[in-house]
Formats: sequence, C-alpha cells, structure tokens
Amino acid sequence: MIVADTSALISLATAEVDELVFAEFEVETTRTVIRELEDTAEYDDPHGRAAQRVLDHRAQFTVHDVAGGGFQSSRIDRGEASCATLAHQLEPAFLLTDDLRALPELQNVTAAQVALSPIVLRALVKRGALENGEARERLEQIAAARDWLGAPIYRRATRLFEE
Amino acid sequence: MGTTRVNFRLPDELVEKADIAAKITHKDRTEIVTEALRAYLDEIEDEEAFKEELVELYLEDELGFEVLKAFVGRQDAEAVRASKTVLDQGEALADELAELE
Repeated sequence: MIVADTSALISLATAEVDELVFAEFEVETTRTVIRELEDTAEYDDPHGRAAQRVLDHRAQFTVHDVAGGGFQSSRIDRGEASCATLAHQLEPAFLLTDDLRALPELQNVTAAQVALSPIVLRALVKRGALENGEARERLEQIAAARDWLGAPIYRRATRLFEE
Repeated sequence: MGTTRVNFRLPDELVEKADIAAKITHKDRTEIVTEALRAYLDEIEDEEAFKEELVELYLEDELGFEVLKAFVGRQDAEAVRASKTVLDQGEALADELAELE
C-alpha cells in the first residue's frame, strides 16, 4: 500500500505513468489532496493538466476523509499533513511526495518510507511494467519542469536508469 | 516582442532619481525602468543557476552540507540532503516498492 500526496500524483501524471501506478499498486490518498488537485486543475498549464489527469482516474485509487492537520508546518502543507495523518492510520509501506522542501519533515513525522517519483519509476521498471529507456525519458520530463532545488536532484535520479 | 501598458506605484524618491537619470542619459522613464528590471531579472536568474550548481556539487560529494547551508539556507539545504539520501538508497527502495502487492 502506498499513500501519495498532491505533488507525487502530479509528477506521476506528468510522466504519464499515473494509470500504470494505480494498476500496479494499491494507492491511497486524502480528500484534502483531491481538493488541491481540483484547485490545480483550474490552471491551463502542465501542472493543471496533470492534476486533471489524476482526477480523471479517480476510480482507480482510494480517497479517505481524514480529520485535522496536526502535522502542518511552514514546510508541510495541508495536503501533506493529511497524508501524514493517513499514513499513521493505514501504516503503508511508502509515503510518496515530490515536495522536496517538505521531505525532511515528512520523514520525521511518519514511520513509512518516504520516497520520490523517480523511485516509483524505477520500481515500475523492476516489475517489468515500464521500459527502462522510457522511464528515463519520462523522468527527464519531470526534471525539466523543476526549480533550482529540484532540477539537479531529478537529473541525478536518471542515474537509477543507467544500464 | 510587444509591449504592455502597466500601472504601478513607485516611491517618490525613486521617481525623482529615475527622472534625473533619464535626463542625463537622454532616456525616458520606460527605458530606465525596463533596463533596471532586465538587470534585476538577469541577476536573479544567475543566482538560480548558481544555486543549482551548488546543489550539483553537493550531490557529487564535492561540497559539504555546511557550505551548502551557508548559501541556500538551512531548510533548503536539508531538503537537498534528504533528497540525496533517498536517491542514494534508490535501488533498495525501488526493490522494496517493486515487491509490494
């Protein structure tokens, strides 16, 4: 079981592997994340279109109502906080985020392994669900859309796909 | 590139200085503001590239955490460090994830 936050779902949809991930894994998220996706989907840009893509596949993952945002901080927003709460309830193996700024705090507040979308792409390759070269190209697409903090990190992640 | 008329407020002393600069350099207010904004944006873009390079060096173990922190601040440095740790464990994490039902 995987709990995924808004940023992770948007990255996976940007890489056009969201459907594949929903088919391969049991993905759970929160109502708060759905609301964030709905807000993002209002924008006619790559993020907005990726958010809409996830919403279109809503039947393929489970959405939970979780109360409160006890984990909110300057770095952890409402969506991430709701996922941390859900992770406490469900005890998933993984909590997925692509919000690098929230990552250190999320690691502190959850017992789940916190992973980034490149790890998911790599796992899809290991399962034989995605070609290695394709995963690498899609990761490069994600990297290109990132800021100064994320771009070098996602570019480096392409090494996971070196053969 | 076209131009767009924009409306914003500037402090009086900046307008005065800009007008004097415009008179001396034989430019108008628009040219002065455009040049200033261009210079500012160039500088910011350079800073972003600089910070990106710092992150690259840290990821390559050519730069320590303390130096990174001095340039980008504690929270962003911690974000980079946490991301690096996740990537360094990438194969093992992906193995574990791939085995999930």
